[in-house]
Amino acid sequence: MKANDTNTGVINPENELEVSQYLYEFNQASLKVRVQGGGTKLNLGNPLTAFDRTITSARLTGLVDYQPEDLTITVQSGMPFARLQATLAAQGQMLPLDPPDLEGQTIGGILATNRNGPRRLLYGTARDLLIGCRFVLADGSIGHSGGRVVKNVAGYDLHKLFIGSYGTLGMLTEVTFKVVPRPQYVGVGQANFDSAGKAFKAARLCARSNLVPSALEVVMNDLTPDSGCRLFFAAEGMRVAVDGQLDGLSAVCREAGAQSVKLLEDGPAALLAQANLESKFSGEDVIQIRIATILTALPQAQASLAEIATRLGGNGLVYSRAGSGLAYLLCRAVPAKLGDTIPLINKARQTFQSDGGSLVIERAPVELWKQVDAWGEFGNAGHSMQAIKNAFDPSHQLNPGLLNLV
Amino acid sequence: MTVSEKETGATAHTPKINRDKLVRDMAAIVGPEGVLHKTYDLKLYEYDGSVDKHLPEVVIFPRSTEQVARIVRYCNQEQLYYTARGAGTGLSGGSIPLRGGVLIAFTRMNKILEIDPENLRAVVEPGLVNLHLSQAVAPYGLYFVPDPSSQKACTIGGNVAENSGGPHTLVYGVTTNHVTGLEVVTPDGEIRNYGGKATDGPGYDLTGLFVGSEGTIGLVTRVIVKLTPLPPAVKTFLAIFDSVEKCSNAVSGIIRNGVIPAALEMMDNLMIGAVEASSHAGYPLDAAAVLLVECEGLPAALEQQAGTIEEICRQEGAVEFRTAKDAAEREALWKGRKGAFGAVGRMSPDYYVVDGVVPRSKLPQTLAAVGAISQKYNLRIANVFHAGDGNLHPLVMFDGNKPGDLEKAVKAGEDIIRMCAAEGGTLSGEHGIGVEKRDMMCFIFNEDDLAIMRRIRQAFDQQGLCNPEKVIPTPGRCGETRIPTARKAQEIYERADMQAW
Repeated sequence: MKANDTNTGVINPENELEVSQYLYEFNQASLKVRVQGGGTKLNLGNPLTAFDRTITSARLTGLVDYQPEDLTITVQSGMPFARLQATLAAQGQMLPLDPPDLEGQTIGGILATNRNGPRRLLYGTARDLLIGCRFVLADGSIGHSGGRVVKNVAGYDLHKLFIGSYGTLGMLTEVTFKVVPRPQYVGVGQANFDSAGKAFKAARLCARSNLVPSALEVVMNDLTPDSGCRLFFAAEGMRVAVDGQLDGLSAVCREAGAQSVKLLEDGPAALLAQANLESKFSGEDVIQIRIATILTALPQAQASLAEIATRLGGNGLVYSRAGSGLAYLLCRAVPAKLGDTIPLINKARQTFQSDGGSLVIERAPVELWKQVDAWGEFGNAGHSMQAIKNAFDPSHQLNPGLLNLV
Repeated sequence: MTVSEKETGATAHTPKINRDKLVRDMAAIVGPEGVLHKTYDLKLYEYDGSVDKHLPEVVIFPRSTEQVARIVRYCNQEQLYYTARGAGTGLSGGSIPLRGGVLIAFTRMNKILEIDPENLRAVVEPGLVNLHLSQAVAPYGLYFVPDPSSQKACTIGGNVAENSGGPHTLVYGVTTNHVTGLEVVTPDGEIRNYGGKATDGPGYDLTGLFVGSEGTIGLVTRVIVKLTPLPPAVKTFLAIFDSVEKCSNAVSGIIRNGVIPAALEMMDNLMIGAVEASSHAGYPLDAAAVLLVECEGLPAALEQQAGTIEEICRQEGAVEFRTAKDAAEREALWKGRKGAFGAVGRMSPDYYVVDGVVPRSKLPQTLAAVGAISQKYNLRIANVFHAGDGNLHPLVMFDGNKPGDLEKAVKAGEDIIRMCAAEGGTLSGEHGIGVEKRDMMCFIFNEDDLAIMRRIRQAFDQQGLCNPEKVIPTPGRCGETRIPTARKAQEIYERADMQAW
């Protein structure tokens, strides 16, 4: 790994101090900077406007501290996610984040883009697992927040600001997580319903039950309004508990009108496949949309997404994290039809902005970005976000154009 | 004058206040019944559960977000300091108006605005008492997880400010993990909405920043919380040990084994004595230490989990393992545990509650170190803590009437916190920094870290009027021992069950 490539302007600092020195230099020279980890998610969100340098965490890959008996681990931000999980697995532990598998992705990149997967229902997301971090701001200032203990209220939780910030506030250099023992057993069941309404009703009953499902995923069989749906439900922990939970969840599905309910042979594989749905759709023509809303609005969210997919040419998939209030569209767009879709996207964006909901365009063909913003409006919170941006990156040097806080 | 000086109040001062005008203007916003200004009344609001105190100029009780916004705008216009207060149960002085000014008490904004069981959310006002929320949603089979020991009195707004925990947060997390949205009045006097019932909103996690910010970057006027299904079955047991070391080894053993229970609480002999004298909960007086363990889940799984935990405890040398026979026994044990602080008030004229965290595996040496500190200062220290989180609460007993005793207690507390920091832990697990630990922040944060926190604070509170002198120390003053004004522990004890309004 070369430290610098002056032709491409890519800088790979080898430690935090170097990150600080480079960012300080770029700040002095008023250069715009792309901040990146493994570079596997550069296609997420608005494309960057012009930038002069790229700074990466490619050489910040070390293990800093791992105390298995404390269930905490500290690593540098550029550590590949796979290596982090392998390190933990060797001690029978795991970081319970299951984002789509992307070869070479780093833990820092997963945090910056707030990736997660089906099991977030049980274990939460990065904001529940990240307990501290070190970072460098746009002017080279080095700081840290949180620590290496699981309970900590000293100082502001600045690490929460970096989650989902897409590298627009600074560069993470070191991150600390609370981790969990690997479950003894993971079981998954599948229930088939003849309507989305019934599938979501079943999912809500499961979420509200005391059966502690670890994942609830609804997948539409096709994109028609009266499409049937599959509901995957999972439980994990001690075998005896999981068996009881799966029995209970199966019963809930049957009572909610499932046509059939079965337990799957290989639960972990089924969950992995659900986590990796978006990897099945790759290429320049893919559009990926996420609606976050309340559980009771999910049927409507899926219907809106199916309508968009149909308008785009019908080569797509619609599914939901049904216990977490998230609906997703993955679709290959026919370029000529993109324009027609924009009114539908804008309408859905308006519909789902109540109750703190949102419609985010995660991936899209280049043409679309000229016409719609990835995030939508921030309402009266935009002012506060702008204030934070101005406190950490006042000249808007980092990842310019990626997150427009209007 | 730099902003940071002003923000921490080093040179700024509230201009001479015309009290009559202030009272009139405040009454115009909230009505005359919503304003307290007689010294006799103000005295009740000069302190919280910590050892500091300071009188406000006026206490004001808004009933709506709009009123809160008008109060903040008024304070900006008149350059008055303002500080938010819930039930005043805080233990780090977060709600003490250290520079006087306006104390905004949220006790009248105590409504549950909406219970949405289908979406597992509730929308509440900040003055709602923590326990009242769980009681209100219990008929739906739901509860609000964070359960600080003061839950009968403390408010959700206070929980949000301090990012409160409680014994049952080991598996399910603390307040920040159970708040999905906030309505706030920012120091510019504007009403803003962060997050909501839905999660994963784009942009920066303002809700996450606000929870635990101790009322220094705005006032929370509405809270959207996550509700969690009540567990199908609960099993509570007590493991009894003849040495503190064996007990803390058992804690490490349980965590290491991966059978993490819903609660894992430890008390030492001195604490057991205090609890028993006060509540007759059924703790064995001759034990060196006890572990209070609670498991939740399906009955069949509970049996297995309890069996594993019992095995670990016995391996580590537990002399006895008792299971609570019924709900009454369970409640008695928890009542004793949650009343632990108050119980010490009967044993000692004064006490100082210390809140520190160490990595869980460091518990044995940490407890030994606390014992050494107790000897060094010749003060009794009782221990009760959330062992599963490594969050300790040593209670330093002293007599404020004895010259030098308070100073000794404060120094002992500081020694404990210094030791926690040196062991790789932190200054506070749940009580907050407030004013109590403001000048200890440099034990874990350097001047650069603190400067970055100041940037955030100033981004929200440009005039430096919002809860001054809290959390972030004045540059250069960090590390100095603060000796607060002492109060009688009895005052806190008596207030434990008192409604603030």
